[in-house]
Amino acid sequence: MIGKKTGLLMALLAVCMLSSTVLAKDTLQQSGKGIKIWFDTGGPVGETYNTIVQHGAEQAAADLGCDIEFMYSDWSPQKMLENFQKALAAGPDGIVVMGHPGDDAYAPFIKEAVDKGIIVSSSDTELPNLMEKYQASGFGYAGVSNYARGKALATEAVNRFGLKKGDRALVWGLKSQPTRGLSSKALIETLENSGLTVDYMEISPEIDKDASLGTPVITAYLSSNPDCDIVIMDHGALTAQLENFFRAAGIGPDEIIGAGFSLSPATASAIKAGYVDLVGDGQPYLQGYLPVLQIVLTKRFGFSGLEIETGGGFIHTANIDLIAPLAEKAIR
Amino acid sequence: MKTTLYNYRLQLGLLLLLAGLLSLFIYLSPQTFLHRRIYVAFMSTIPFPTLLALGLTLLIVAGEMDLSFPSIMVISGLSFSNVAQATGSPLLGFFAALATGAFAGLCNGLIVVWIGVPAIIATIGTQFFWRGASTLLADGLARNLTNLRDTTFHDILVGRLFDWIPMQTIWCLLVALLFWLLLNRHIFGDDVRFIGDDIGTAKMMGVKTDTVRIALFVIMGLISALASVMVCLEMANWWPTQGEGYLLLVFAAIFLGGTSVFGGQGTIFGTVVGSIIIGILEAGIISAGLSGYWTRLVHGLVIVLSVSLYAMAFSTRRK
Repeated sequence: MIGKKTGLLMALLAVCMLSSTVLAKDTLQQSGKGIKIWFDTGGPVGETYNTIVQHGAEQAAADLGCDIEFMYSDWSPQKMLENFQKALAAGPDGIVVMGHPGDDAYAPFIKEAVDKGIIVSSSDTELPNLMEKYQASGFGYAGVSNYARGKALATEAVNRFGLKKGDRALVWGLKSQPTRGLSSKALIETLENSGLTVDYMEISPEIDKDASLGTPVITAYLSSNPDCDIVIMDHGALTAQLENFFRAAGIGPDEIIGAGFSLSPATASAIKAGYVDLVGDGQPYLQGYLPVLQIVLTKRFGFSGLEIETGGGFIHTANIDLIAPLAEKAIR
Repeated sequence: MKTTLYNYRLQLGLLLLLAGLLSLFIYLSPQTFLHRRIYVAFMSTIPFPTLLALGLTLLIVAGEMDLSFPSIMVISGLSFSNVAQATGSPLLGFFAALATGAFAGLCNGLIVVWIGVPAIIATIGTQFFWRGASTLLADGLARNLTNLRDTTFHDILVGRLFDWIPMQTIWCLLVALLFWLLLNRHIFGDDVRFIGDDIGTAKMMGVKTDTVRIALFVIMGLISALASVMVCLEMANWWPTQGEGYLLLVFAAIFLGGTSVFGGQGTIFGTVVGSIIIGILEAGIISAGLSGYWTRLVHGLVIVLSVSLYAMAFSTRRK
């Protein structure tokens, strides 16, 4: 039998716990509740890289309680601008853009958005002039500076594999694209500054969409240039196919150094098999998560735009076992 | 002899074009084009668009069109990956892919033939539908299929015969032979041509036009599924954008091969040679030391020149 005092104490305790829970709910709400964000993932629906970006943004929206709509631009700067105008017409609280079209192309549209009170933030590719102009209005950036990521990968490759003057490198990239192409430019310049002979190939639109079409092209290059020491793919989907490319070209594991960007299950498997030796990791999950957080923080508390470098990591044989399971879930 | 040569002027012209291009590439880059490695690479990749082009040739000869095959590829490939991973049997996965491809093809056929939506419009719609469905079902995630590399099924479909000839080339040639027989030595081929020439006349002649047209869409679905399974096995990977890059290349190969966009005319030989020409161009340009920027220009040049020559040779100018 419980005594009166004990019963009273338990009842008081229960009331305290209940009220503290209610109070806590009153004071600590999800900061994104009621905020609507439109997010351009940049690539096509389902592509490896922008799916990771999307997963990061989805997690942020779930954590913060905001509503999010996704757009897909097939990595086309033109489509990114069209999607921005669609988002603008919907009048959300915030829009996240991929910076591929560049400062000049975006300038009038972002001005219109800011004038309407819509917070704009950029991901993946930086927009330095617009960032400078609208940072106080919450214009932030989360991503890897394209030039910096190219330079970092090339520098790491030169140091890690002891590349030297006279060695030959192939860079396969998208130099023709504004801003995005800076990564290929940095790769080429850094390797050339280290004394390497660099051959550059532009990725065709077909191979950009379906990397499996690249096999004869790389075989042709490697047959014409058997002295090639390192192949660098400035493209996530092509990095994922490096093992198949090398196999088709009759190149065995570790015969030629393979490097590239973005981890996917296929790239993880190729690292383990010895066909890919170095992968620059821009941590695209954060490039989805952080812009959503940025917009919510600006909308709710008026914080200015943050510039966050998400890159700097490298994946290789020594750390692949730790990271590979996350690649299967499209988080890394 | 002269008449025979005249009758086969299209095929001869195509062969001459292929021989000319190969000679040019050998001259510009002997270290690449006098080496077996590049031909193995060609034989490992060209069969995929060629298979698709073969299926589409029959449809176009019948005056139909299918823009949804890249999406049928991706949904069939997803079926293959999921079933093969779940059961551990790539053979079961293969049947699942064929069933998916046939079903998607049947849907196209029914929409076009029964409901009466023009094929080009119907297949634009189904192209979006199947691509969207596969992305939703896969949650946007790629599938790693490296564990299938050690299976007998892998060796049968995309292994290396005598350690160097990619099996997909053998399968592709067999399918080409089968389609050639179907188009040229079987009543089904006559029906396809009649329908492409004039569907009204074909009906009056007793051709079951609806059945033949639906069958052609189903065949295209099956071929897309076969190509998809082969791509998945060759690349040891399924990814949600699979097949997207094939669309223009396949059409380029078909029209380069001499198939008439108006229907009623087309050859399996032309499509195969057209696919080879389209398939070797970029590698030839790269190995010649030109930048990839040249690829599209040369593609365009070859296609425009070839179809212009056909137009002149066959007097297809509208009066």
